[in-house]
This record gives sequence, C-alpha cells and structure tokens, in this order.
Amino acid sequence: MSSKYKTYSDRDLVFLLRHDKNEVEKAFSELYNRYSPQVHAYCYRILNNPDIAEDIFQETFIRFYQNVKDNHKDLNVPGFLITIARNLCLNYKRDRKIGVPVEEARNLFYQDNYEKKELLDLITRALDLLEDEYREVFILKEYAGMQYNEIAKILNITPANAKTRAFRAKQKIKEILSPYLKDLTRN
Amino acid sequence: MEEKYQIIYEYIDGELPPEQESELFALLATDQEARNEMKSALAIKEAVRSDSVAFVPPIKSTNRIFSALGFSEPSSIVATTSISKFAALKNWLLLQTKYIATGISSAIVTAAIMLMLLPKESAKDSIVNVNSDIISKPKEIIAEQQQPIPEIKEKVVYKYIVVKQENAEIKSFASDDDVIKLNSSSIKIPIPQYNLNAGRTQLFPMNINITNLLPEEILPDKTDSKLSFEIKGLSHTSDFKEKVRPAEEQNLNNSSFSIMYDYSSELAFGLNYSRENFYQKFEGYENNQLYQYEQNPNFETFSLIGRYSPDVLKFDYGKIYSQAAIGGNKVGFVGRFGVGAEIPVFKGHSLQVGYDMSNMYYKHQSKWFSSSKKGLEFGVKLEL
Repeated sequence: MSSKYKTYSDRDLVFLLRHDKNEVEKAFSELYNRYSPQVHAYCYRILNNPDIAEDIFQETFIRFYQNVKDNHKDLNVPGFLITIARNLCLNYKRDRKIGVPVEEARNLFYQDNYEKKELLDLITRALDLLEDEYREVFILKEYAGMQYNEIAKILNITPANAKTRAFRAKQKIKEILSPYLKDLTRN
Repeated sequence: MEEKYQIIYEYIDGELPPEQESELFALLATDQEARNEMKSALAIKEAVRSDSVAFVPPIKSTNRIFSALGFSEPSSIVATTSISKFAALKNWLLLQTKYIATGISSAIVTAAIMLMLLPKESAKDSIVNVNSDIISKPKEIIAEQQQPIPEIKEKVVYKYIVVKQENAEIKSFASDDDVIKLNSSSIKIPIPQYNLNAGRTQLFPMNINITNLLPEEILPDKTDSKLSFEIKGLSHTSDFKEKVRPAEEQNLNNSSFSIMYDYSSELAFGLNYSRENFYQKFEGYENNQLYQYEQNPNFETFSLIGRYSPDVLKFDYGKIYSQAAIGGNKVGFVGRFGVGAEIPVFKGHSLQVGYDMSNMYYKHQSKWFSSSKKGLEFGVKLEL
C-alpha cells in the first residue's frame, strides 16, 4: 500500500471508504493498521479469553466496515470501533458467564511467589480482581489509548467520572501489586 | 494513595494542564511518597505498553477479516504480521531470558576453561620461557646450569654480554637472583625468536556477536546486586621488542578474574587476580661480566581495582568506564590504568572490552627495572 495513505486523516479515509470504490480496500487497510492494536488489546484484556477475543476482534472490524457508510459525517473511528467491540463483548458476557471468580482469581494471584512474576503478568491478574467499571476504564485508557472525554462518551459518563474511575482503578491495581511495587520503589 | 497524587497520573497520561506542572514538580521535589508513586505509575504504564500479546493481532485474525470482506491481504498488513511473529519471538525470548543467559554464559565460560586447560602443542615444540620462577627459585635454576650447552641454547633466558669489566669485583649474583648461568666461554648471542604472537593465549577467540542474535527491543534490565564477578581474557604487547616468546605452561594464562563491589552508581571497587606475562629486560653481573637478560615468564598478580563510570557516559546500551589498579606479584609491584566499555546483554550479564596499560616494577641486584605492556582485555561480567 502506498505510504500516501499514512498521511491521510481518519476523516479522509472514511470518505474514501464511503465514496471511492477503487480506494475502499486501501483505505480500510490503513484504518486497520492504525487501530487494530488498540481494538485487539481491548478485546484481549476485557475478555481475558484469547479465542473469544479473536472472534470478537474480527467481528468488530467486519461490522465497522459494514456500518461505516451509514454513520454520520464526523465519525470518530477509534471511538466507533471500541464501541462496536464493547457492545459485542457485553453481549457475549450477557449470554455467557465468563471470567474467573474473584476469590479464585485472588488465590491464583497469591499462589505463586510474586517476585518471580513479571509485572505485566501481575497486572493482568490484578485486572481480573477489579470491578467491571474500573477495569473497563483502565483498559480503555491504557490499552485502547483513549482520552477521558472519549471514554466518557463510550461509557456514557462524565469526563470527570471517567478520570476518577481510572484513578481508582490504578489505585486498586497498585494496592494489589503493593508487595511488588514496594520492592520496585525501594531501588 | 492520596488524592493529591492524582496529578501524577494525569501528567503521565498527558492530561495535566501545563499550569499545574510546576505544582507536580514541587510535589516530586519534596515528597518521597510522591516519587515512589511516580515510579509505580511509570512501571505499570511501561508494563502495559510491553503487552505485545494484547497489542498485536494474530495473522490468522487479520486474514479472516480481509477474507470476509473480500479483500486481498495488503502489503502493509503483511508487515504487521511479520511484526507479530517478531513480537512473539521477542515475548518468548523475554520469558526465556534467564535460561538463555545462563546457557550462553556457561558455554562461554566452559569454552574458555577448556581452551586454557587443553595442552598446547606449541609449548613442546617451540622455544618458550618455561622458567616462570626465574627470580624466586634459585636452586632449581642452578641445577639447570649443569646441563649441556646445546640444551642451554634452548633455555628460556637469553643473555647478551653488553659490557665486559676487566677490573670489576668478581662476584656472581646468579644464585641470589635466580638467573640461569651460562659458561661465559660458551655464551653466544642466540638467534632472536621473532615469532612473537605464536604462543599468545586468547581467552575468548570465538567470534560470537551476542547482540546480533537478539532483537534490539530486548533491553537488558539492571539487577539489584552490588556484587559482580568478571572473567576476562588478556591480549597484551610489551613495550619492548620481544625476542622471547611468552611462557605458556600455566593453565588459565592471560586471564583475569575480579570480584567487584558497586560502592555507588559511579564508583566500584574490587579485587583482581590475573595470570599474565610480563616481558622483562634487565641487567646483572655474573663473574665480573654485565649481562642483559630477557625473559617472558608467567606471573600471578593480585591487585586492588578502582573503577569510575561517570553518569554522563552511561547510555541505554552500555557505559564507559576508566579504572586503575595497584597490586603485586612475586617479583614486584604492578600498576595499571585502563578504559573500557560495558555492554549489558541480559539481565545481570554484560560484555566488557577494555584497553589498558600495565607497569611492573622489580628489583635485580639492588637495581630497579620496569616492564610495561598494553593491550586489550575482553570478557563477561556476571552480577551475583
């Protein structure tokens, strides 16, 4: 794909998707390149089930392509993608009970020596212990890379509320990881 | 965690208004807890960023999406998939780092020890300086005096008559100073052996470029340890024009072992044990004749090392240091000065390469002499 597409704004690419049949594939490819990491990370971490996450990730982009033509002019592409992914995840969760029960996850977390774990591994386990409202904001902020006002729109809350939830999510993660982080800050 | 630390997270997220930045910096300057909070927040942020499994869609998913939409796989997506494979490799390597590091270190050390322990054929065939105890064991050397002259020609020590003093007091210091004695009537200037480097021992001759084996994203981490062990090979050249090959019979020759202690971020001290050659050129009297001796024996040198690595010369992929050492061996004092670079390869494992100059000061028949050499040292550092 020509590098010229990398210089196009989301708005330009969406315009090409909607109006130029010759450019549709390349425009979609560019948007996929731009946002697939965030969307994949969101699905992967919100569901914590790789197989289901892959299915929902694929479905998200397919639905995006199918719906982008009908959407309003000033489309926020990453917001739209995350909203699709979120709805699919919520539907899936609603239909099936997934995830590890908190107590079980807590036991899982403490059964091994924390010093031997990579911090990332600990964070992902700590995420399982968070309530959904905090976990989702954390993932949207840290994995999907969204601003608080974007998170607020997706979750239908105020930006201040999004900021507070993100802060509390980090507080909780930090509390869970406190033995590890104490060692870290001591050095 | 207190609400006042929320500005730390806003700053890290890039959402702190500029007018509040001074408030943050003031907080960090005065509050240790705030600094700890900053460290924790950055660590969490960095850990999330490194979550390549989450951030890199598998090629299978990409293909399915494009196939479902009737698109061919574009080249840029192919590039993404190659990144995916690379990320998977990186992830795997990160998980295996300690095992890989241990394996490579063990292989290097084992190979080095094998090389040094294996008998060297050249030692049998060539004229070498086998008299490593030339100054401290007179009895053994006097015994060699009685060997026939043809064998003496192949002895380690070459002697050159530079002055003949007819009226000087007749006194031999040979028995006191451990120099092989030759019958003055049979002294001939030997043919110099200019094959200087034939017997050089190199500790790590293997051409291994470890850094090229690994993705550059694998950044070595620091460990908490202040103690480290260093093993190095030495390859030096004497400042004299060498006419005698270095003695080779000692195992682990031309190698150096150090235990270092990091006193601060910039200063380290340690103990060093080296097995090395020094080319000696000195004079002495025997039977009223002045001789010039040249020899290239082995020495075991113990020294104290001080190392300075200024913070300004520390980079992501290594640091530059200078070091000085003072010590001694059985014939005299040794001083060294050198510079080098340390390149972390894995957590707790570094490669070191340096250039140093060494001087040995020793005494013969109440007169002081010095030998100097310079060259490379290269090896590995293992944090304990």
